[in-house]
Amino acid sequence: MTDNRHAGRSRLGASGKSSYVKRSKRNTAITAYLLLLPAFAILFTFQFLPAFEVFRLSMTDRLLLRPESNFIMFENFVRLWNDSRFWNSVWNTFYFVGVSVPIQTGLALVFALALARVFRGVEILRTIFFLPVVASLVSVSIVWDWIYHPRIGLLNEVLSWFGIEAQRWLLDPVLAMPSIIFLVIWSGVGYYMVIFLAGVLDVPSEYYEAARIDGATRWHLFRHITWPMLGPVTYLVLILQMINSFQVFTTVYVMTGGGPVRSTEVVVFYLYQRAFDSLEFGYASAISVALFLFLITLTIIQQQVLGRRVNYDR
Amino acid sequence: MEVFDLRKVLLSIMVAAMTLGVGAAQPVTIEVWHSLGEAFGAPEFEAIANRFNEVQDDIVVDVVYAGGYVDAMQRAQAASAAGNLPNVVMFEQTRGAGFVDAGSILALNDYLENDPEANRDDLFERLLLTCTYGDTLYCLPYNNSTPLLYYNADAFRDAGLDPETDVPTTWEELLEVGPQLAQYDDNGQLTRWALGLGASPGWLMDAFMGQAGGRFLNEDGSRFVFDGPAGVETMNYWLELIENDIAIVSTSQTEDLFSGRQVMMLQSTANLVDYFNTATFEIGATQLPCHVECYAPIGGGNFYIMDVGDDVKHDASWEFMKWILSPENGAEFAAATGYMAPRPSALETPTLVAAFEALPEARVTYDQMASHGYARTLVPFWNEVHNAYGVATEEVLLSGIAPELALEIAVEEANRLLDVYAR
Repeated sequence: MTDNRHAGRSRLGASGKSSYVKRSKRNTAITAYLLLLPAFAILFTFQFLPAFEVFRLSMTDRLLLRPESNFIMFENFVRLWNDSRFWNSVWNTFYFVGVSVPIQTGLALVFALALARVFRGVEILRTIFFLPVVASLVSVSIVWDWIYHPRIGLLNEVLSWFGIEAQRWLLDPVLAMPSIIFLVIWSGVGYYMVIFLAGVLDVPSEYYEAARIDGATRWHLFRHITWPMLGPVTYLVLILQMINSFQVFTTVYVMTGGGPVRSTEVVVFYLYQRAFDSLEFGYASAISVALFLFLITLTIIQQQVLGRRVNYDR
Repeated sequence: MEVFDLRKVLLSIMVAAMTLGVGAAQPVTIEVWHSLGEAFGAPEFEAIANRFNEVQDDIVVDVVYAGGYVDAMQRAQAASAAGNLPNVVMFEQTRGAGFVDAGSILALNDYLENDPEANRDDLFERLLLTCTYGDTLYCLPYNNSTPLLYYNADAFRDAGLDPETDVPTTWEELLEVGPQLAQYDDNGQLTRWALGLGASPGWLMDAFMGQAGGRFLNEDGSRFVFDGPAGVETMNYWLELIENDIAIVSTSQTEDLFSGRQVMMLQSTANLVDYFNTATFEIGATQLPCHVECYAPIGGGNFYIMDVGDDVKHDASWEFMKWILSPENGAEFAAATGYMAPRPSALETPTLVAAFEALPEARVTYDQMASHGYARTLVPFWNEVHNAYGVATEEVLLSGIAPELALEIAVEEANRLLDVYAR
C-alpha cells in the first residue's frame, strides 16, 4: 500500500526528478523497517533468542538459580538416554498421541461432514461444537476434574444409572491417561472440525452433480470426491495435531500433575519438572532439544510420506 | 505515517521522562511480594502495609500479590534469572531455600542482633528456626501455621462417642475410634468415614513420619533417610487406616468434611477462622495425634529481604519487616486468619486476647508449635523431593507397591540431587 502511494505520487508530481524518487524509495524502506522493528524485536527477544539459548544450555550443567555453570558437552544427552523416567514420559506421550490424534481427526471429519449440510439450526450446532475450543483449557480442566471425581463426580453418577461401577478415573493409574485423552478430544475436536468444515464447503458442487448424474452413491461421493479434495486440509490438520499433541501439557499440569504413579507424565511435563522443580535447567534444555529434533524429524517424514500424496489440483 | 513524526514522539517521551524524574526524588520505594489469597489475610496484610505508608514519609511500600506459593516462587525464579527481583518476598517454608542457595537473600543476623527495636527475644524460637540455615538467619517468620486435627463433634456424638474424650490423641486411639465412626449404606458402601488421606501427602508426610520418630534428612543433613523405619511405618499405618475403613484416599476432603461424610481432617490452622464460620455442625480443632513422639511441621510463609539494591533499600525493607511484625500488627493479622503471630507478646494484645476468648481453638497451634513444632526441610530442590515422595505415596496407596521399594526410589532421587547441588 505505502509503496504504491509513494511511487504514484512521485511519478505524477515530479517527473524527471530521479533523486527524489530514490530518496522516496529509501524513505519507504526505512519506514517499512521501522514498522517491522517492534514485531521483530519482540519475536527475536522472546522466541528466537531463547530458542538458540536452549541449545547452548543443553550442553551445560546449569541450575536455574545458580548463575555459574560448566560446559559438559553431551553429558545431559547421555543421561537422557539412560533415564527411565524420560522413556516412561516418551511412552506416555506416544500413548497420548497415538490414541488422541486418530480419534480426534476422525471425529472432526465426521462432525464436519454432518454439519456441512444445510438444515434448520445448523449454525447453532456448529457453535456448540466449537464452544469448548473457546473456553480456557485451564478452566475446562478444573471443571472436568470435578466431573471425574470418584465419588461426587458427574461421570460416575451418570454411569451408575446404567449400573456401571464407580471408577476412580484420575486417581487410577490405568484410567488416568484415557480420561485426559477424552477431555482433550472433547475440548479440541471443534477446532479441527471448523478447518475440515471450511474444506468440505470449499469443494465445488459441480463435481458432486456430475458424479450423481453418473449414478454415484453417497459413499462414492465421499470416497472419490470429498476425501481427495480434502487432502490438503487433512494434511494440515494432521501436522497441527501432531505438533500440538506431542507438546500436551496444560491438562496434565492442572488435572493430574503427571500422576498417579507417573502414568500421565508426558515429555513436556517431565521437562517442566526438571526445569522448575529440581531446577536442573541444563538437563531440561536437553529434553527440550531432543523433543525439538524429534518433532522436526517427524514433520519432515510427514511431509515426505503424506505430503507427496496430497493432491492440490482442482 | 511520516518518519518525522517519530522524532516528535520520541522528544515528547524524553521530556515527559525528565519531568517525572524530577518529581520522584526523596522517599525510598520498595516492592513487596506476598502470596496471601483473599481468604488468607490478603486484605488485612494490605491494610497493614498501607498504614505503614501513612505513618511515615521516608519509605513507600509497593505491595504486589505475586500469586499463590508456587506461582510466586516461579515468578521470583524468573525475576532472579532476569536480575530484577523485588526487595521483599514472601516464600512458602520450603521454597526460599533455592534463593538462599543462589545467594539472592540478605542475611538478617546483624539487623536482628543490633537493632534494639527488633526485640530479638520476643520472637518464637521455633519459628525462627524455619528461617535458619546453619547459623544464618535468612528470613523472619510471618504467616506461620501448623496442621490441626479438625473434627465434627456432632458425628462423634452420633456414633455414641464423646468428643471431649474420644477424639484420638495417638495413632492407636485413631485405630480404635476410627471404625466406630464409619457408616455404610445397604450395599456395604462406605458413606461416612473418619479421615481423608491425600494421594500426595505434602507436609503431612513430615507430620506422620516425625511422629513415628523419623526425619527426612539424617543428623548432619548429608543424606536423605526417609526410606528408614519411620517412613515405612508411616506408609504401613496409612494402609492400615484404609484397610480398616478408617480413611479413604480423597481429593475432596473439605467438601466431605462440611457435608458430614468425613468426620476428621488434618488441615492447616490457617483455615481455622474460615472453617468455624462455614461449619453447620459443631466443629472442633485440636492437636495432631502423637505416636512415638509428638510432631507438627511448621508451614505457611516467611518474609525474605532480597539482596538487591543498596543499603538504603535494605534498611527500608528491614523497617517494613519490623512494622508488620510489631505485636499489634502481628496480632491483627493472626486474629483475622488463624496464622500464628511470630511474637509471644502479640498473644497478650487485646486483639488476640479477645480472639482467643471468642475462639479458644485459635490457641491450639501456638501450644502445638511451642512444644513440638518443627521447621521443614530446607533444600533448594525441595519441590522435586516433594514430588518423589508424593509418587511413592501414590505407588503404595494406589498401586500396591511395597513401601520399602517405593521410598527407596524416592530417596535415591533426593540424594542424587543432594549431590548435584553439592558441587
